[in-house]
Amino acid sequence: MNLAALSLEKAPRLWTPVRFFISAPVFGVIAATIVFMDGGQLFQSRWSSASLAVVHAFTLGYIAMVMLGALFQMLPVVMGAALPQAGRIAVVAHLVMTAGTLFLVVAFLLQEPALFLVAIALLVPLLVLFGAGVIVAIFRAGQTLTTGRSVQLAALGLVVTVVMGAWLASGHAFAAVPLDRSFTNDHAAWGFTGWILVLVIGISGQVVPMFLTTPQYPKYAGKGLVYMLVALLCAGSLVPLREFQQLVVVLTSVLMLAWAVLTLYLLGRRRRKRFDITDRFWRVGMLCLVLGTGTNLYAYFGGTVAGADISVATGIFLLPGFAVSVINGMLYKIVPFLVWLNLRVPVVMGKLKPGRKYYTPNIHEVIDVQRMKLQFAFHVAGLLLLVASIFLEGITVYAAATAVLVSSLLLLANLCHAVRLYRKYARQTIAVR
Amino acid sequence: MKKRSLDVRGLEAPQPLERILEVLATLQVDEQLDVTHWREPLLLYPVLAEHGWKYRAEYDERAGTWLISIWKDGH
Repeated sequence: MNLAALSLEKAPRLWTPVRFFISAPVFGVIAATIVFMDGGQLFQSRWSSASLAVVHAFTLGYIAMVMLGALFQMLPVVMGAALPQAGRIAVVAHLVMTAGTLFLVVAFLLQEPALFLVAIALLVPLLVLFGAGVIVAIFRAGQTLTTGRSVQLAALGLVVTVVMGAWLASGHAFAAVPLDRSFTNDHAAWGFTGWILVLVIGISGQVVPMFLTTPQYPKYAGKGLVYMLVALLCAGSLVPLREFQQLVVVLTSVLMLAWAVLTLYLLGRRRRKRFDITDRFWRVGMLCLVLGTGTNLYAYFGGTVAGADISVATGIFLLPGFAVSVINGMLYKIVPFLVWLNLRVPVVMGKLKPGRKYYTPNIHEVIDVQRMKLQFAFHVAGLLLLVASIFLEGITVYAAATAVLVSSLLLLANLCHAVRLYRKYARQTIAVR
Repeated sequence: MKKRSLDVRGLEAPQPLERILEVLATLQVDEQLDVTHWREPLLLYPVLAEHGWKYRAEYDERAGTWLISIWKDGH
């Protein structure tokens, strides 16, 4: 019998989210490969097949993949005994999510209607059911979950984004359905603000002070901010008046900038000043949120730089720049924490052979800091080169793709190292249980 | 039931969880542990359920703290 595999199955708290977490950098590799193959055309227009494929490799394959894993871990905690099969549901959800995203990415690249259809059939039921499940689970749990309302609204944002996305994908799949490009802006706004940003704001109130020893966020920067963002999003989608929509975009941008600056201020006031890789990732993320909000406003009001499509820069700043940076930083806290927890609990709870000493690695030993620093360097280089690729062709594009590729592979290696370390120590303890 | 208390406010993760687990390892069946925490320790709950501990969590809005009471199943 394979003891290592057995021990992983016995640690659903570790394996349920980790299977999603490890898939994220694989989609980073896929995105980098598409940039390589495309050779730079995608930096000229947000509408090219390759840009749409890369955007969805990041949003579904990387960002939503990690967020689903993290929420799957929390759902059974919130639901208690009501969802005993959460571990098994997560296995199926992970497979469907991976397959559905691959089909969608290839569908964009080949512009093949049948592949869009398969992607819709896989992703829409999964994500709508998942979003609805999160909303219901938190309602049932009542007031116990402090970030509950924000997570519920984010789940609603996910459902709206997916339904809009399904309509747009139907435009690619069926000749009878019109492909309404103007609808894409609503789909993107709900996806970024309603799903990604609302969830990040919601959980940062908990995780930033806890993992980075910053002061607490002020109360208005949590639920109040999230309510305002969602209200503005609804207003912008429902009222088709040009001047009103301009006002909505300006107000939303002000709120996003204020939150990014507040987070940077809190990160500057950490109680422990020692080097922390998550702190660095979050600073880069917040800086990119500021830049992305700025370029979005500039492009919205018709601004251009050297004739380039600035909305591509907005996409780079907000997706790999903001969302991927904060998620990458958080993975370096959550994965070592879960490895430590799953090794430590049986030792402390006295489930092992009495009288024998068991060594649990320190949380800071789970992933070597130098390896994380190296990955961070490639991540930042990748971001700079991606932005430069909008203006410079040729070698810059291939350098950008290489940096994203190496960064993703290093993240994958670091996460796999954490799992191997868990297996090594779990084997020692499981042998005497 | 005898009560023991533990204040883990201001500690960097994962120290709050580690302290709680260490006290639980020595907690007797007629004892209750009252933990004061800045945040709700959501990751602790499945561990408690798995090992037969009961718990009750309350949020004190005025103090901005959570009070989590933990005791052994059977009481």
